[in-house]
Amino acid sequence: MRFVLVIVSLTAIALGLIHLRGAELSERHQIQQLEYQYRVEMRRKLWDQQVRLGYLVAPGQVRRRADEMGLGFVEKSNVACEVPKTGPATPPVPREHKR
Amino acid sequence: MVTRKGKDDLPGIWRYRIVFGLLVLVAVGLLSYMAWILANTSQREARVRQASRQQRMTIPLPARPGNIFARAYRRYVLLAGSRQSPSCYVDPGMIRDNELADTCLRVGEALGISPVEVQQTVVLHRDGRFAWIKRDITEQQAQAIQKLHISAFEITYEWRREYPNAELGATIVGFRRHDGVGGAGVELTQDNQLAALAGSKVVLADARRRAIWPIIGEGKLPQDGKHIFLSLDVSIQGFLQEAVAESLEKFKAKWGVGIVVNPHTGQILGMCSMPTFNPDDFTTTPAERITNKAICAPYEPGSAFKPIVAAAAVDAGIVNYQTTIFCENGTYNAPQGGKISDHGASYGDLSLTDVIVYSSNIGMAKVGEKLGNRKLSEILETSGFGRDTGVELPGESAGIVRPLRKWDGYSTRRVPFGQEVSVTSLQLIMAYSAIANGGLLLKPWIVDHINDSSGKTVWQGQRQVVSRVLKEATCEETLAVLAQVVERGTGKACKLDRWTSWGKTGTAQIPARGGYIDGAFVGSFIGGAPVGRPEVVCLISIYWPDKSLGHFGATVAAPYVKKVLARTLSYLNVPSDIQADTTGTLVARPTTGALASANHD
Repeated sequence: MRFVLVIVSLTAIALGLIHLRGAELSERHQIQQLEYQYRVEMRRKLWDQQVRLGYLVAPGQVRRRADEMGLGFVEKSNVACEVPKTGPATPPVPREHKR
Repeated sequence: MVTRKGKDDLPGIWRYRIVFGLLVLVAVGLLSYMAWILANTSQREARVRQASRQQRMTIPLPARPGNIFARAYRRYVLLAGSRQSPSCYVDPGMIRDNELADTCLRVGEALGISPVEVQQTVVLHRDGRFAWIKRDITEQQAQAIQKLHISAFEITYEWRREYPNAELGATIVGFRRHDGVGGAGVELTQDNQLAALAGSKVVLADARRRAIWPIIGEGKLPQDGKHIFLSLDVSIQGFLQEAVAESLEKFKAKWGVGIVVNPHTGQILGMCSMPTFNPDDFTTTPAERITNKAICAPYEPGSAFKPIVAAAAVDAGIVNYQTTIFCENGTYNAPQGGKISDHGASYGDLSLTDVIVYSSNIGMAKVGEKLGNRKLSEILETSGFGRDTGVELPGESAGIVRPLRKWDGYSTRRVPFGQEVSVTSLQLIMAYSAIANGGLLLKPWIVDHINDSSGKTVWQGQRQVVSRVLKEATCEETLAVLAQVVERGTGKACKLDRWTSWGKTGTAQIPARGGYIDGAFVGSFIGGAPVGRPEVVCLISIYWPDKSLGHFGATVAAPYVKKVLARTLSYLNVPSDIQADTTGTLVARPTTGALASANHD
């Protein structure tokens, strides 16, 4: 009876150790995966975003979007090239204050 | 009396002994086997290799090639960048026939393509072990494929070089071939700086090939490529490309080039060769569009060469700008120098200033006679013609300057007005920049600085003086003469509203074997502004415009240089140097000489 008890206990310990070992390996693998994600996948996403941002701020793209949205942006060089105009033909009408 | 039994007398003890004996035998057997393996060298090495292969796993760590940036006022914009995009491939040998239809259906759904298309690819490559299913897919599609856990379909990441500004500055940037090697432009010359060195990580893997434990000391860190920051400004580049394209379209020319430089530093702010190309589609682009003709295609400069020779002659004290030259009333039969005409005009006595202002060929031929061949040859050499400028771009031509022993009486009279010599646009603009900056011939440069992947500057470009070619006083006088070219001479089309400007036209015939092609011209204009302290110099050359529409530099190039100069000076916040006097007439404002080039930092 005592012999059976020893065998059962040892088996339980062995199974527990195997389970712990499996869990340890699994955790270590997860750590490696996380490190890979940090080293490769995040950098990959960063590179992708940098290129996408490059497209978004490309002057031609900005001009095209501004035109599409009718924002009426005028390029700095074109503004300065214009001959300064005199003031409006008629002075602005003062706003009436409500009492 | 109770007697204690010995262990040997216990019932069934023989069973324990048998089991223990067997275990000892097994242990001895295993130890002997290990000892035999260790003793046998060849076996040992093979086993160690086998164990290493089973336990170790090498994970590649990608490194990114460097980016190329250009200025955009007070920031930088991306001209060329790299990213990794996922692609899906199949190992057709790993799919069983009875699973084919179902597998293709699932893969097709994940990738958003027809399952029939997937099946066709697999069937077509049934005997092979690799076929692309779809390249450049989205990250979501890649994840969807990985979630299917079909070992035959895998995801791999490929490098893609992208050019967000497309055709803007394309001939400068160049392109990167699909194998990752630079193919043209800065991509080619700076390939060693841009190149990345992929890394790797070695780990211990378990029986299921899962990475478990890193092996320190093995593997190597990835080294990203360095980033190149150009002196090119995307806005100025845009002004230049628009202007040259407009002229090409209007005058139906074969090609045109444009350059804008800072004459005080030698930095190239804009350079184009039109028609240009989109680096994303370099495989379908004809080679002549990829060629940067601003540095690769020399041509006879024609009258644009006159101020360089005149300035050198004045500098040497052989003539001055007030020297009177008889221009033979329009036709000059030079002794041993052939017949020279002033393109239909008839001039008598002209000062050297007016020879330049009205662009008299005869006047310049006579300056050539005063200089002689040896001095003329020296002027060409010191002004940087006949040799590379050393700009960081590939395929630069040195131009064509014949050796002095081959010069004759024709050369004496032709070289001063830009015949018998071929120059590149870059050489020409650098010679003019020397006049604009007070007499220093500078080396042109386009790579402003280089940063490593952490942002630290590892190389900084700087102004390099090649030599002093003219005295400062000569340059001031020459600029004043060139300002008169714009004021009352052939360059009126380049007169700016808010700044004083100077410049010179050039119209040259295109040579062919044994003479010139009838009706074929290169029209050029080189100008700068303001006259007091030129902030930028711009050159536009239009090659072989339709003669019926216009071919003179004053027509095909000067108005476009004007546009570029006006927009560039506004963009750089260069203050106007023209003001109204008491009568309301616009006059040049006295210059302070303190226009900060730091406006363009």
